[in-house]
Amino acid sequence: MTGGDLTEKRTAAAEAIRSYLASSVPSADTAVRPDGELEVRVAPRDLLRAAQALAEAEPYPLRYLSCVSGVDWVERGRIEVVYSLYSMPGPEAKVSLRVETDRDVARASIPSLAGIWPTADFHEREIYDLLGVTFEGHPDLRRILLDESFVGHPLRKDFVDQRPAARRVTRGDYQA
Amino acid sequence: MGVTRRRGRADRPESKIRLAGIHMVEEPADHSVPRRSPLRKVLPGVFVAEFQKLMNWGRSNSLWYMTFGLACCAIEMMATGAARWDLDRFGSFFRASPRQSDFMFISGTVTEKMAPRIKLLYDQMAEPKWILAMGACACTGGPYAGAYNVVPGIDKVIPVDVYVPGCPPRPEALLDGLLRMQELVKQEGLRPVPRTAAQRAKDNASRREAERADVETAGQGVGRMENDAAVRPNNEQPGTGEEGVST
Repeated sequence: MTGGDLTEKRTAAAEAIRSYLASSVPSADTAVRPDGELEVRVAPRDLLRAAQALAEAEPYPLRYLSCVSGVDWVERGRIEVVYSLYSMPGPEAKVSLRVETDRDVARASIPSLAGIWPTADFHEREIYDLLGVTFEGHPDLRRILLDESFVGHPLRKDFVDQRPAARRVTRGDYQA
Repeated sequence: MGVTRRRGRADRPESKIRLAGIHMVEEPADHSVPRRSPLRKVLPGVFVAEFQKLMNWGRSNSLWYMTFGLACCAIEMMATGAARWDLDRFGSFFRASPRQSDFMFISGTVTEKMAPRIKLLYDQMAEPKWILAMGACACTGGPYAGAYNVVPGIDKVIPVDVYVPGCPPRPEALLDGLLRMQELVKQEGLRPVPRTAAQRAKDNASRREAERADVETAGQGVGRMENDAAVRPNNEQPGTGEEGVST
């Protein structure tokens, strides 16, 4: 399949999914990108319904969750979580489901999608660990990489290392 | 060294000892023991050596190391242990338990999450024990020093005897480190093991003092990697880490 064919197929699939989604989640903000990827932006309260609809979308149910990413938009005071979805089998449809939440650690919270795509379990734990987003309804929301005693969420742009001075090394230490 | 055994008794034909299919021939016993001495019956072949040297000789030639790897350096350590470089010829073998290990290669990046586990394994090893820090990460944190989850050198957690820098060190460098560790072991005294609580407290205090000095003159830590493998002088006692460690 050449690149042009793929883009054509994906664009057609994206349009189909877009109209399917419009009927079940009308509040979703959708856009088809030039490469045929469908971008879906939803509010946290609509996330579960939108995800359910995408997982069952006709004729291209998005059964494969490829990746979950977290983005820290520190200037805007928001954290974005991006779910990358593909239809299986075949490359016909590609969707990125995006949801934004508050950056404040106490209020950064979105519903967990681990019940729809089991892959989301570990990915959401990673985002909880490194960016401090709480996933409501997650079966086992613990830190996955760092120790439970770790203070802070290190991939936040304003993270400050809280370890004792003997454990910290800065670039200056090596330039002395 | 000849094989000797007691002479056969007159009322019994000489016993034929067979060991692994080899027929052992009787040889005359050591004549330095008087013929009528009762020692002759139990110790027919006696040789004399300094006990401390004998023990150190035995220890340095049977340094068993723990089956324990942290990162990419562990691959190089495995290569050194396998047929081509063959650590076995120095009497060093992988042991799958800290209880049976004499030393440990810290082979790779030490994360804050792993550090307490390494400390636990170290505490489980029987005295006397030695530590070899393998690679830039284990020595100083290497390219990852300054990362939020990386310990800048395993010597912040447990005492290190030999540092082998490199990323990763060649097997030849690691062998050099092992041979230097053997030199260290050969200098061991017959000090009481485990050390007393007072000695341990003193060690810990001096180590903390050194750590503080380290922090104040940060950056000089890399200086100790200038040589191929830096060896700690034997008169510097390793600290055992925190107080209350079971010995």
